[in-house]
This record gives sequence, C-alpha cells and structure tokens, in this order.
Amino acid sequence: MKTILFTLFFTSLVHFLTASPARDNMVNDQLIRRGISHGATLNAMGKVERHKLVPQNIRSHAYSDSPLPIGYGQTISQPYIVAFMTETILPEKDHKVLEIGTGSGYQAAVLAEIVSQVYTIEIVEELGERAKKDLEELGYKNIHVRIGDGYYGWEKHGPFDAIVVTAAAEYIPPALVEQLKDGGRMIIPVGSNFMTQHLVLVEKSDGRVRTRNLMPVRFVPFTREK
Amino acid sequence: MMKRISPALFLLSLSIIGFQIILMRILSVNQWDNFANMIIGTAMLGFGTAGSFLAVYKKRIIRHARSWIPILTVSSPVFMLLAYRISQSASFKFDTYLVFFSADHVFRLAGFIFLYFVPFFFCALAIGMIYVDNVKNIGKLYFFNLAGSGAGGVAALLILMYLLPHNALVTVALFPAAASLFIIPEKGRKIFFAIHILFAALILLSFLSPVPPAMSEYKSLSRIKLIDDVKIIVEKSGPHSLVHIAESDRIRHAPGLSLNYTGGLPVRPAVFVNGNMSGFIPDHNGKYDPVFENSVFKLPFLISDHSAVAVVSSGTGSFVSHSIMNKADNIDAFEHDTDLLSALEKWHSLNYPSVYEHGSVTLHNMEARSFFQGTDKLYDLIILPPIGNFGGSSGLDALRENYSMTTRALGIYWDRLKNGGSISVTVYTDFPPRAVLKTVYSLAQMLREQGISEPKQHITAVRSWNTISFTVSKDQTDEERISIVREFCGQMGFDPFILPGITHEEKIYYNYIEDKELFELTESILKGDTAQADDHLFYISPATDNRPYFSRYIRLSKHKELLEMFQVSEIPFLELGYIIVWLSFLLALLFSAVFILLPVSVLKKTGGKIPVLFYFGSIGLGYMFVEIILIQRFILYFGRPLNAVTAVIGILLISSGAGSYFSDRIIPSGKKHTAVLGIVSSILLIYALFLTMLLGGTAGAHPALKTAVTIITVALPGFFMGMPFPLGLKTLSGKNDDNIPWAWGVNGFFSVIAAPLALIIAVEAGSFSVLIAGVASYLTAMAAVKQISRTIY
Repeated sequence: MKTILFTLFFTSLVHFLTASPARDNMVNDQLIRRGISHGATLNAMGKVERHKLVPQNIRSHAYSDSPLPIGYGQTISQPYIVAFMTETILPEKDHKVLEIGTGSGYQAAVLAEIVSQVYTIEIVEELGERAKKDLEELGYKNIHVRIGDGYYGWEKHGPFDAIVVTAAAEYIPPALVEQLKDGGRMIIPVGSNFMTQHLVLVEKSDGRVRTRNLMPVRFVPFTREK
Repeated sequence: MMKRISPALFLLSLSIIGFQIILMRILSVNQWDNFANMIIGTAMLGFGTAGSFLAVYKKRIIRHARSWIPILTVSSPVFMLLAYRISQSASFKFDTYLVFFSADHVFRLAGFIFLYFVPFFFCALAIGMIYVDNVKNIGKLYFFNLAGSGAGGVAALLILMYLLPHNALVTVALFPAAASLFIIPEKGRKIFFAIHILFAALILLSFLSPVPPAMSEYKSLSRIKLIDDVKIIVEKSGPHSLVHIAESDRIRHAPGLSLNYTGGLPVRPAVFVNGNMSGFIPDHNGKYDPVFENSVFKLPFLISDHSAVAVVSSGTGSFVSHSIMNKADNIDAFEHDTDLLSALEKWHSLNYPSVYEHGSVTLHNMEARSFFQGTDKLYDLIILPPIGNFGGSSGLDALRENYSMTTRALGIYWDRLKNGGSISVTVYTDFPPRAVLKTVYSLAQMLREQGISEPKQHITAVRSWNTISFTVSKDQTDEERISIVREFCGQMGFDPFILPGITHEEKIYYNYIEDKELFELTESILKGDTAQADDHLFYISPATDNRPYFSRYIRLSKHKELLEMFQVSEIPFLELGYIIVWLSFLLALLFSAVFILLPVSVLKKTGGKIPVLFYFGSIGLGYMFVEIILIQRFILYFGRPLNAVTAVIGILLISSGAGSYFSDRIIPSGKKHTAVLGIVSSILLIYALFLTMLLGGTAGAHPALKTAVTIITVALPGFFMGMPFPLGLKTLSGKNDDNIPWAWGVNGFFSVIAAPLALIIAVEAGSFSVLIAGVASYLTAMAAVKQISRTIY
C-alpha cells in the first residue's frame, strides 16, 4: 500500500514539475477537441517540449495553433497537423519510422515517444545539426539524424513500418516506396507554400501501392465545444 | 524658366516611373508580384499626399518655390537610395510569407511601405510645385510630364536588360539628380549642393558596397540555395524577369510519376523565374526518359497520333523533348518569355544543344493562340502547360490574366486539330477541388460550343495521386482507346477519371478519395447540368476573354459559407492573389482618405472642393481604367505581353502628351473643353462595343497592319485623354488657385486606387465593365466642368 501511494505521489510530483499548462491546453483544445483520439499520440504530444525545439525568439508562441518559422525557409508544423500525421501512420512500440525532412525535430520527437526507432533525414545541414543537438539535449536516444538527400531514403535501416514526409513534393521517390514495409504507411503533404495543403496516405499491401486522399484534413477543423 | 523647367520635369517624371518599375521588379523577385503591387500602390500615396501638403501649405511654399523645387528634386534620389538601403537592413527586412504568422513582420511591412512613400512624396511634391508655379503653361508642362513618364518606362526596361535590379535602381536615381542641374536655385545653393554631395557619396557607396536585395527564404530559389552542392550557373536579368538556372546532384524532376516505377530519377538543372520554380531543363534531344514513360504525361502519346505537335507555353522544353522522344517530326513550340529563352540559350551554350535547336522543332517567340489565328496549319496533338504550378505560387496567380485557357482559346486550339487530333492538359490536384472542376467545365463548354452534345465521348482523363491528365479528342472514345487507357492505368497505378463505362470503384481503386463531390460534379458538368457548378462555393465556371482569370476561385457572394467551412487563417491560402488585391484597394482607400483627403478637408477651408473632387477624381479613374484595359486587350492581340505593355503605355503617354500640348489652344471650361470629354466618352463607348471585334478580326493579319491598328486605336483616345487634366487646372487658375493642389492630390488619389479597383471590376464583372466604368468616369467629369468653372472665390 505504501509503495502504491508513494508511486502515485512520485508520478504526480514528476508530472506537476514537468507538465506545461500551455502544452496541456494545446492537447485539449487543439487536438482532443478536433478529434485526435490515438492515445499514444496524445501522450506524446503532451510530453514533447515543443518550445525547446523552436528558435528562442518565438518560444512564447510555441504552443499556439499555427505553424511557426524556424529559419532556412522552413516552418514547424501546426500541432494538430503533427498529431494527425502521427495518428494516421498508426505507430506502435516496436515500429521503425523514417522521416524525410527533420526540420525542427519536433515530429521526430513525437514519434520517438511512441515507436522504437526514428530515422530522420534533413537536407539542410544547419537545420539538421540544430535538430540533432536539440534532440540530444532533450535526451532522445532513439532518434538518428542524418544530413543528406532524402531521395535515397535510408536503405541500411529499412524497411520501415512507416514513413513520414514533412515537406510537400511533386513526386514520391521510388526508394521510399521500396523501403516501406508491406503493410506499411507513408504520409505526405501535397500543395505549395501559399496553398491549402492536404495530406495523402500511401499504403503498401501485397506489393501493390495505393493512396488515400485524407479528406477530413483538407484544412484544420474548428475547435468545437464538446 | 520654361526652357529649364521642362527638361527638369521630363527627367524627374522619367525617374519616378523608372524607380517604380525597378522597385516592382526587385519586390517581385524577392517577395511576390501581388505584394509588389500592393507595396507600390501604397507607396504611391506619396503622390496624393504631396498634393494635400501643397494644398495646406501652398502659400508658404510657393513664395519660395524656385528654391524648393530644385532642393526637392535633388533630395528625391537621395531618398530613393536611402529607402532601398534601409529597407534591406535587418530591422526593416520583412518576409511576405511570415506576415501571416508573425505580427512583427506586419509592422516591418508597414515600415517598408513608409520608407518608399518618402521618395515618391518628394518627387511628387517637386512636380506639384512646378505645376502650381507655372500653371499658365500647364499644357506644355503636362506634355513633358507624360513624355518623361513614357520614357521612364522604356528606360527602366532597357536598363534592366543590362543591369541587375539593385544596380538598375542606382542608375535610375541619376536622372532626378541630373534634372536638378537644370534648375540650380539662386537662393539656398549651399543646401542644394550639400545634398548633391550627399547623393554622390551614396552613389559611391552603392558601387563600393552594393546591397543585393534579400530574397524571401520561402521562395523556391532560396530553398534550393540551401542545398550544399548547388551552383547557380546562369543569372540573367531582362526587361520582364530575372532568371536563374541552378544545378545540383540533388535536384530531380518527376511530375505525375507512377508509384509503381522503381527505377532511378535523373538529375536535372532547375530554372527559376523571379525566384519561383519555373521548370527543369530536359536531357539531350530525344533521349529516352523513363520518368516521362512512367507518368501521366505519356497518355496522350498513347491514344493520339503525334506526328505534328504544338506545345503551348513550352518553357524549358520538357514537352518538346517528350514529343521528339515519341517520334514527332513537326513540332511547333510557343514561348513568349524572351528572358527565359535568353537564359536557356546561355545555359545550353555551356552544355548541350537545346531541344529548340532540334531539326523537327520550330520555336515561336509568341503566344500560341495568336499564331493559331493567323495560320491554317493543323496538328495531331496540342499540349497545354500544366495547371497549378506545383512548386510555385498557385493561389498567388489568382488574378493573373491567362488567355490560353479561356473557352475562346480552347476553341481556337480545337480548330487547329486534324481529324483524330487531341488537346492534352494536366492539372495538379488542389484541395478543395477547384482547378480540376474548372478544367472539366471549360473543356465541356468548349465542346458544346463546337456543336458536340456529349462532351464525355470526347474526353479521356486519368488520375494519379496528385495530378489529373485530360485528353480531348476530335474522335469519340472507342473501345480501342478504352482498352489502352485501362491497361495504362493498371500498369501505372492510375485511376481512370473520365472514360466511358467505368464504375465509381474503378475511379478510386488506386488513389482513393472519400469525398464524392469531385466525381459527381464532373459527371453533372459533362452531362450539361451545370446548375450546381454555377452555384458552387468556388467560382469554377470557365474563364472567358472578358474574364480571363482561370486561377480565380473565390466567390464574394459565398463569403459566409467560406467562413463557416474554413478558419479565417486558412482563407488566404485558398486564393491569396484575390485577397491581396482587395487588401490593396482597401488600404489605398483608407490611407488615401487619411493622408490626402482629410488634411485638406479639415485644415484647408476652401470652398468648391466637391466639384473639383468629381472632375479630377473622375479623370484620374478614367485614365487608369482605359490604360489597364487597353494593356489587357493588346496582350491578347500581340501575343507578346512585354511588347504589348510597352507599346500601349508608350503610345498612350506620347499621344496624351501631344493632346496636353494641344490643349493650350482650347479655352478652359468652354464648349470645346466639354466637347473633349464627350469625345473621350464616345470613343470609349465605341471601343466597349466594337474593339474586341476589330482586334479579333485583325489578330491574324500582317504585323504591319497590326501595328497600324494598335497605334490608331491607342493614340486616338490617348490624344483626347491628355487634355482634361491641364484644362481642368487652367480652369481653376486665376479663379480658384487654392484648389489646384487639392485637384492634383485628388487626381493622384484616384489614380492610386484605380489600379486595384479596375482589377476587381474586371474580375467580378469583366473587362467590358471596366471600359463602361471609364465611359462613366469621363461623363461625370463632363458634368463637373461647368461646376469647377463656377467656383469663384
């Protein structure tokens, strides 16, 4: 009995000390109310310290309901989009996930809370190095960052249970399709900077590749009162 | 004084227009066109504000006009150079894309606009003071003003051919400095020459420490430059655009690629126009391209003959290369962008020959449509450029005229097809679906206009995960074609989108879409039931020559439904271009009211403002409406946008200048004054009714005839349109001098808001309506003539 009480007290104390009210609000208002229901995703979004993965000058906006500029022509995605992409690939504990476009490292961090290993590639050296450093400082041991061309995927560690492509592209490199496991899922945005982007899910099954246009995420839905 | 002031005015006017054009180029390259227009439009409030300033402080200033004019003239280039340097500094630099995410960048944008407001204000103040001080010679002075403006346009384009934009800006600043040397003041010489020394120092600084403009980090070119092995091989400035060609082992191009393709993707040099991705340079002529063979673009070559091919807006030549590869032996390529072609020529001279040099290819430096109207040549296949630039700026293109995708244009292409020939066009899918639906509607409408009652029998379309490719054929789709398409789709993992006999399940087998609206609406349109399409949330009705805005989708009347369905923050990303033009108009209206109209209304208690407002406001609006519509019409007529713009503006300004010079012979406020306005209105009304017919009938004529038609049709109204402004000022002179600056300011105000307003009217009601608005403007001015002459105080 004493042990149980102590564990509960200790867990609560840890949660109290490390929880961010802004992050909790983000999870409640931006994710749960918009229909994100995957438990592991919600936990991950509640744990990852998004504010430590954005530039200092915009930290106060880290949990706001919008993408944020992180330099080098990139943005860190809106929290809802990150959650939706995570939920959609159905991540599990033993999964190995490839991410193309590390950016801030936030998506990788969220995935790392759920899956076994995350392999992430960033073509812009400065961004990749910064993400690597930030993720190490946050204590992630299961994220492997590589500076390079995502076109080739990461064959050495493939095949992958899931692939997350964070930047819109006009084509999907054949290597990525090749490195996706049978039964695996790939998610990729479609559309340019100044357009509403939508997400496409690529599924590989019995050697056949099919896509699914994720209609409900054509735009971020309103937060609705429950 | 006139002998010296006239050349000074000419050079000053030249410099303002030159500065404006070069600034627009800099902003178009480093930000985006629409924002460039907005910034310039707002900055030009400096003109109107100068008028208000003069109206309020006229007596104090005019006493010392002959000292102030030279000082203002020499100050304006100083502010041009300072504004540019400061705007590129860390504190002021802004990024258009970040305006949507960061309040800081909104303030930077405001600061940016204010910086450029200043040089326009000083230039305009100098010109305004020249007018006020020499009102008896207003006709002749206005001639020099207009001639200088016309020359400024030409000068800017010529300078941009040889200099990069930031160096061109420094060069154009020399003109007002030169202007000031014609009018060295007798008093205030120390200040005058001190400013000259400051200007000289800034020029030296500009050459010793040039400041290239900082491109938005979100532009395609900026992002490509972040790749560590990228090299910029060509950087070519031209009158129309700045073109870059970049090479890297990591740049690849594979649009419409099948997900079943397992081979490698070749590396390709990428081409950027004004910082936006424009295309990729294809490989050597006719070399096998596995990417193309495994993409949606292969389809028309499978189902259509393709010996004689026309490639519209051929750009870097990718489709020309595909045609060569597929054994086409007679290829006409059409590309009007001379700057792009010039940059490609330079790149190819360092590498391998261009596809345009292949023996089977004839390159035409013009719009295809204009060529087709003057030829009897027939084609097996006409390939249109993809719709919805994937990596570029869709949404920002909303209000760009596109005469190659109107129903009339599609009909012209249809007329150029052989029996069995086809038209091919690919659309990048957008969400919510707009471009696809508009394409379906446009093709179906064109077919109906050709007398085909069942368009579905002539259209084949296949869908990949992010594209839909249409092939429209003269022949009906038969079993053989159906079989070819089914096999193609099965091999590639594409879905048939339009094909006789397919089920809904087949349409979504490889690339599933839950929402059925795309399919249901497509079916309705093809059947001829367009009620739902015409009432759609988005404007998906076909573009016409009267409203050639294919990429425009937002419908004002549906704003409530839009706001219900989307968050406000998402609306700009549906169609940014349309939002920007409305924003430009409202900002111009607001700032103009605050900085131009209000100060004079409140601070300057002079009567008779209302008639002056109506007269000078109307002619300001009317002139700009006519200019904008003539430019649009002649872009279509010439098929070469740059030539059209240069010709129309040049002829209009010169003929208006001639009219202004001639106006000195007309008694202000007399019958002839009224008659001039009546003549302008009549000419414009005739043009509204018959100009399209005249230009359409001579579109295929000999260039000499077309040139003559252009000169006559532009110069005729231009000559008479040059008269009302100087006549109006002379009317006020001697009777109501205090209202002269007010008149000038009002004219400036309405000129500024006319540009976005004309665009809004054209988009909502068509260019015919803009001409009618021009008629109404001059009729209003006609009614106000007597009123302004009666204001005697």
